Amino acid sequence: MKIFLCVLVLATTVLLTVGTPLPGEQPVKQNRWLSPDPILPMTFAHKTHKSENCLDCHHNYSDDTGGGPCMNCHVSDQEVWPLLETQFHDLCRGCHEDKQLAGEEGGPTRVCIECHLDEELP
Amino acid sequence: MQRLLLTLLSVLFVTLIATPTLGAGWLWDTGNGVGFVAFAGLLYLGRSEGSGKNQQAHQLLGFAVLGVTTTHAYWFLLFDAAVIEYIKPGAPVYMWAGILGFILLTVLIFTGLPEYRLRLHKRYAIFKYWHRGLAFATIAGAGYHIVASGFYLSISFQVVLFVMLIIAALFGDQLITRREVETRQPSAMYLVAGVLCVWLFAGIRNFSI
Repeated sequence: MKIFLCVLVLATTVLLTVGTPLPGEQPVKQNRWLSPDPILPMTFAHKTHKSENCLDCHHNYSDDTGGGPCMNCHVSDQEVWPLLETQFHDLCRGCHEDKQLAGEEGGPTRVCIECHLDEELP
Repeated sequence: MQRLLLTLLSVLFVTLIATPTLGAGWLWDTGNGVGFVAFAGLLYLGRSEGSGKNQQAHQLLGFAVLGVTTTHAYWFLLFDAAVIEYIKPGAPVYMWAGILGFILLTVLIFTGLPEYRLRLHKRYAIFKYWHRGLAFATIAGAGYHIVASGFYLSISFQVVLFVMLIIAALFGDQLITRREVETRQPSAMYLVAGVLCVWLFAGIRNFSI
């Protein structure tokens, strides 16, 4: 039993400090897009979203709330910044879930590592 | 054994009743299926007798549930490199509730072993009081972790059913028959049935897409 606890503590320590031993990209939290606090990287592939209505995400095209990349406001605006995680999770995962429930092929609904990668800037 | 299977299938049923085709991929659904099996085991343990001739079986099943819970936790940490951020400061409350449940379960099992129990509690009645209290706290932490993470139990009536299931599993037979506790606690059967439940849980969500 003591061995079990020791292995558990050791495994947790290793995972927390160096991450998973399995191959693959390991996202690192850091200040991105001038964010006030460290955040995970995010990727968004426009090429796989060509069939979507641009306004579904780019609300600023119609409500005149700002311009440029999403992160211009979503990390720099004092009111919007605290909602970053909730808003993007709701928008991306919500849409993917709706598609899946409709029997269409949607994107990731939960797998964090499929979106939190250093690839394309949102 | 009937009660064990009933508990496992009831938990599985509640997760599938609203959006059975909504999945997160084989990897995530398998990991979460393991988590639900762990929770079902926890519920079952909460109403099974752990003293006298059942002590060893109860302990063994406790270790089986702890093993399944550990698998659930480390599954995500190993296979999804971003999840590690969800167990660090700033993580959502439901993740802390899950971690708390995991720690409490470990404490619950280790303090129940005779060598530690006798050191901590001289009187059996006091041990039983604390053991039961810890068990309820563990179930509360794990239950909140499941409900608040809000994916598999995304509809309000699922949450209501889930809470009713917890109450029924812990107090149902006591209310109906006054006192009737499970004497056989087959940990091997729990693991075999658990594997089948995980396969069903992930399979239904991923084969149907």
